[in-house]
Amino acid sequence: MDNGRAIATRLQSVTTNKSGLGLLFLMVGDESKNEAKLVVSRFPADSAILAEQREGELTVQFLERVFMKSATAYKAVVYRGVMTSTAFWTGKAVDKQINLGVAAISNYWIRDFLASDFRTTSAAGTRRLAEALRTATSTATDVTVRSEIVAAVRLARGMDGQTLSITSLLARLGLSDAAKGAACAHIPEHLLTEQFRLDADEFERHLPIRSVELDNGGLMMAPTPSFDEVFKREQVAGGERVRFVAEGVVIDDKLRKGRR
Amino acid sequence: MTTLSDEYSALRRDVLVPLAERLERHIKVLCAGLDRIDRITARAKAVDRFLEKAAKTDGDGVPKYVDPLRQIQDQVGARIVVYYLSDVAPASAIVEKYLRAIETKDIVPDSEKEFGYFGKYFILLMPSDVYDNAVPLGSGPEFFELQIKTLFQHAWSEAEHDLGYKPSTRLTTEQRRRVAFTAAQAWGADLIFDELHRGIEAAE
Repeated sequence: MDNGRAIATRLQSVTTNKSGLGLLFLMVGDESKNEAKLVVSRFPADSAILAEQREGELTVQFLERVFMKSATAYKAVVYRGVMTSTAFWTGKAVDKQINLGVAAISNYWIRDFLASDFRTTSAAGTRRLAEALRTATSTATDVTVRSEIVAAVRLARGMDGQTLSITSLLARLGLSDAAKGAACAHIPEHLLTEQFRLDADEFERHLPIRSVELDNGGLMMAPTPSFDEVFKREQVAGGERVRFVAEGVVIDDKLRKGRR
Repeated sequence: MTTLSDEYSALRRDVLVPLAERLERHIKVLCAGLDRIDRITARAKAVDRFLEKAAKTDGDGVPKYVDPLRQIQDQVGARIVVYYLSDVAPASAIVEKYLRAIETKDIVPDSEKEFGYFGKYFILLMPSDVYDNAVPLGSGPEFFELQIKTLFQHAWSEAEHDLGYKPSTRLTTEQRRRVAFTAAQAWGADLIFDELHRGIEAAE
């Protein structure tokens, strides 16, 4: 009971004003000979039983609808590990209340209350995503798929700090199955669903330059974030032809080895 | 009956050795942009060293590890060897940026009058990137140990480890003093090389 009370007190102390009353469930048991399992979950509740202990008396107020407001909107975590003071535990957390733009809710649950963090750091997850998208643009044979992925890179830059996985990001950006397939083709399956917080600076570090090549031999290169401002793209009437217009002062002019 | 030695030997052969190879490649990729890296290595702990550690007890004779296969965190160990003391910080920054640190500490001797082990030490979560169908996620240890050392720290710790683990004899007081002397020499060499390096860089 003492441990349970300490956990509940900790949750109370880190719960933000965005969350209302909650009902806390704690379960602990032995998974195997040396391994314990701890389940912690929090369901939203409209109201609860309020017990106040004062000197020599306990005041109990019954507040209506004590049980959860919603059985499907909850946060939960399960930890497994060896029960010694020297062991580290890993766990799996779920946040059924997380929506776009409310990452703070997840942060208080994961970081402040559970004193935990994602297995994958922001930089590692973002680098993995950027490399997957870069590989997809260089290996996809369909130009439409490549264009979709370039557009996805532009949109993903705006998701700085958001919690996502490669799979969830591709779904949120509405990519076609072909583009999703190209982006995921070179990543082991277990990495596709691993959660991390997107780091826009890290993302840009791994995708710094965008290049567009035309069938007339023209090759344009510019920093990825400003490519569309540097090269204005115009659709030429009838068909797939496009015209790129760039304006500036020439500061360098070089000859390079070609691919042929 | 399967012994701990059998279990660890099989785990080492099937999981730890391939994991160490992958981890070494992974850390090399992460550190590719760093200057003055002498070497990056990763190894699976030898069977005899694992059994020796698993058998350790506390002051009351109680086994230190109730489940050594899951509690001993350096079954896979990695080391980044850098040239100079000032190269440790950039390497540490990369490690902390791309790998999930559980525990970090600077190893220094207990007293300012002593010389011995120096280095930066991490316990890190095994990155998911090193697993695949051949070595699936969950088949290996959750954690690994990583040390960042300068060339002199590395050279000293390797020699000291070799001498200290000779099973036949224990080092005498005089021998231990000599080992401490070499540690002091390595410590001084690190300081001077780092000063020289920074001085030359500043002049450039």
